[in-house]
Amino acid sequence: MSEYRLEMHNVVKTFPGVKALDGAQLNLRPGTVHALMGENGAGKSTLMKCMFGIYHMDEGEVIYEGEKVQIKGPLDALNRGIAMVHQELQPIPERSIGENIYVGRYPLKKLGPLTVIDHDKMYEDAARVLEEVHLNFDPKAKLGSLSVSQMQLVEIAKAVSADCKVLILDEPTSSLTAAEVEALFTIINELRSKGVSIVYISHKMDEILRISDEVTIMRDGQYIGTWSAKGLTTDFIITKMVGRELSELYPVRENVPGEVVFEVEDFTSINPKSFRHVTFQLKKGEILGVAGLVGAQRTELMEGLFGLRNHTDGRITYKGQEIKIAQPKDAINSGIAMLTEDRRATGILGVLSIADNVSIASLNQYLIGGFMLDDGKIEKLVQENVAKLSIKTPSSKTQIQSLSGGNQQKVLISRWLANSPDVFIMDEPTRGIDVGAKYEIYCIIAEMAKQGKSIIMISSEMSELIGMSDRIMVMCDGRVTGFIDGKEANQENIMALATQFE
Amino acid sequence: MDKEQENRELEVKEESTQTGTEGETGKRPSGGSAFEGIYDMLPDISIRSLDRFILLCVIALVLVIVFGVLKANHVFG
Amino acid sequence: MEKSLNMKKIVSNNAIIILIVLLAILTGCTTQNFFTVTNFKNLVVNVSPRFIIACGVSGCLITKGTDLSAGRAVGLAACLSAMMLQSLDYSARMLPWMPDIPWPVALIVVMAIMGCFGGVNGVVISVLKVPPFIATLGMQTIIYGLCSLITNNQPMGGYKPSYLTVASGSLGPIPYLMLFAVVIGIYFWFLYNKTRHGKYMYAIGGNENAAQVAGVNVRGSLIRIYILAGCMYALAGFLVGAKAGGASTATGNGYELEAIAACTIGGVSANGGVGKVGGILIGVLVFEILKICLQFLGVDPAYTYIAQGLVIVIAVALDLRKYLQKK
Repeated sequence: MSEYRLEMHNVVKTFPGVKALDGAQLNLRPGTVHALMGENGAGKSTLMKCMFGIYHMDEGEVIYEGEKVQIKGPLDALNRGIAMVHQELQPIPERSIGENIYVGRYPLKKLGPLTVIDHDKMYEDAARVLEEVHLNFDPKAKLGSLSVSQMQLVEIAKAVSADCKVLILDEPTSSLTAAEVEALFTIINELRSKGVSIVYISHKMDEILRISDEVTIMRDGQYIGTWSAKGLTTDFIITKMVGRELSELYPVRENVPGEVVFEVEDFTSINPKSFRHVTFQLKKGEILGVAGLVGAQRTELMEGLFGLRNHTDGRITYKGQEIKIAQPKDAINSGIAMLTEDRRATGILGVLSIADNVSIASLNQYLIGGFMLDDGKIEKLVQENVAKLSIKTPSSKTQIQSLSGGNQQKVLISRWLANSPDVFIMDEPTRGIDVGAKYEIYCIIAEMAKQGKSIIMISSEMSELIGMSDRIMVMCDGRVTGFIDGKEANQENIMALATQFE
Repeated sequence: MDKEQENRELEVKEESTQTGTEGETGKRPSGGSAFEGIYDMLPDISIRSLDRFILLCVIALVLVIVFGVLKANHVFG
Repeated sequence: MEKSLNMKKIVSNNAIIILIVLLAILTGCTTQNFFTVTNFKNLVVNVSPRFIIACGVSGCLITKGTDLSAGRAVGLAACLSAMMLQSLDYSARMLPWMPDIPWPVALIVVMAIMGCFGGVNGVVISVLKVPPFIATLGMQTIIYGLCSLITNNQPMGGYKPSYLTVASGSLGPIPYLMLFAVVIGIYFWFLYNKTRHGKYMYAIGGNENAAQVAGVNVRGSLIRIYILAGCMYALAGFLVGAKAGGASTATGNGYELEAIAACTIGGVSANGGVGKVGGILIGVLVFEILKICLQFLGVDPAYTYIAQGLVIVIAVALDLRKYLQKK
């Protein structure tokens, strides 16, 4: 009998254009809390989905209780004793808590020739389950009557109720209050002592170090290693997750901010709930980070500045002159560029080639006789950028949508650089990009700043903001709540300003 | 699960796994037509059933032409 | 294993074209006079105006729109041309006061008028944000109504010889109609591949929002595309009238369906951003060859209609398949 309850070996899973899992593995002992860590895109969720049968593995095997198995789906997994609490809740708010707990596996009884749901038993069982996890809810109450964090606890109860042998928790505390997190940890400890194997996927270092026995780290779909949680430090984990020394996460920046080139005064959206009275200045060669919670209206503000959204009040002064921006073309003509948040939706021209994507915003520069496009010039531009930014692509005619996220982003950056903008707004520039490409993009940003361009960078990754910004502007609920100098910025003071609601 | 659904799921997960989006980037009406994104609005048709449908239509086409020719040569009434 | 997969891919991408080629070979072998110069000229003369219409519609399709007013626009153009180019001594002249106008002038006037209609389409679609399907459907009926009004539902004929020669004459062995088509083909090829307008068009079709962010003047481009389409319908209508020697409110009825289908067969995807002039030509040829083959084989036109309908359905289904595969 193996010492492991569940093993996954050499798992490979490929999607077009991306290898999501490359020899991943996981070995779970009974009665342990096993943390699974890695950056976004490392493959943690994909690996779990493979285990569950939601995805079909290209290669690899799952061994459960000593036997090789092929799990056909979540219900099959549940019947075998493997339960998962997902990161994205899929609750049915109109139905009762009890129904949500037992959805798909309602207790049944016979009513004459018919088989119907045994509601009494269901609510009885539900009440017991809720009690087991120390929750005080009425199982007959509608799920929608609970708060988001409470719903998450019910999800956890659901998984626990299945009397599982393996429990997977995917970011279980993302919506929980501190007290609720404690309650969760109590439950986890109880389950552990009962012999349950628990997989704990989370970004929160302190929680991981507190609750887990073992830690497995993944990076870019690959298995990096498993360590005992005793004696692990945050720095060690980050280094392994990211693949480079902490001190090398962000490039050395040699830019020196100069005089103010761009000023925004009292900028207000036509939508009263959106950004209002925004005032800030931007220096030449400066990287201004923009921090804030979801809903702080940072993207909306930048879209307003770029002419994608309407504003009522406010002045924009650029190089001493006031400019009016009503549509993107105005902004572009003034020397402003914008890398949008969702490159798939508003960035890349998917079916078009790389050459087309790079040149589209600057076609006026490649004309022969004033109207005919010079393909040779465009090709030269593309090759220059491919070299300068290390864009990996088979040819300039390749469709941009077949490139990886990082390379797509680089193509978009090239597009804007072709216009030699002075102000470059970037909204979540490294979102959905693997670790290696992230670093390359940071280097590109640093280089641009060094050359005197001003960068406005919206980011939701604290470490990125702190590591890359000369100054950080913090927004909360549509207002600018403060500025923090890059050298003094830390998680606490940024969060303090980000939560300064009126 | 079909490959297409897997791909879509991975992409969606990639975007939503990030620490929250700031809400939609201003949904502008893109002047769509009955055609725009009509392929998105159709229910999830697997490539296999589409292939079968295409094959069916091709067979029908060949049959129609054959019938037409035969009728012209008075093989039938 | 690899080889058979590639074969399958080639066949499925070009199924219709392969079918039609086979049909053509079959027809040629079993009937007389199929592979002759006369028949070829016949094909060319039929294809030319259809090709011009398809080029016009292609811009609308590439930008994820459509233009259902194409057919009726061709009809109106044919009627307008007729009214300007009837023989001076024709007894049943529609506009007795119309002076003797050289046909190039009449052509320019008609193109200007239909260009305006196209402009209206463009504005309604890009500024008022009405879905192209609905906007052009409305325009289709409006144009038909106007045509009825101005022609009083009277069919027209009795054209000036110089107008008729446009369709019947040739430059050496090459029919004038073919010259028109060739010039238009070259123009569109150049426009789509070597000009900013072309790039903007593909960008809008590929991802309108992204094009907007990249600074493309989406409105301006769309309006230009529909105006150009209108001009193409005008030219086609002018030529169709000359070829038929007459025009009426029934002229051009349903031409848009074939034009759109031809584009789809030729690789212009209904999902936008893709399409080449060469493909459009192939699409139009497929339709015409199908028609001619069945004609030669003596098949009842009813069967031809059904066959054409099936070809359209197959073309769209193949296009959908390509899209699903990419996803």
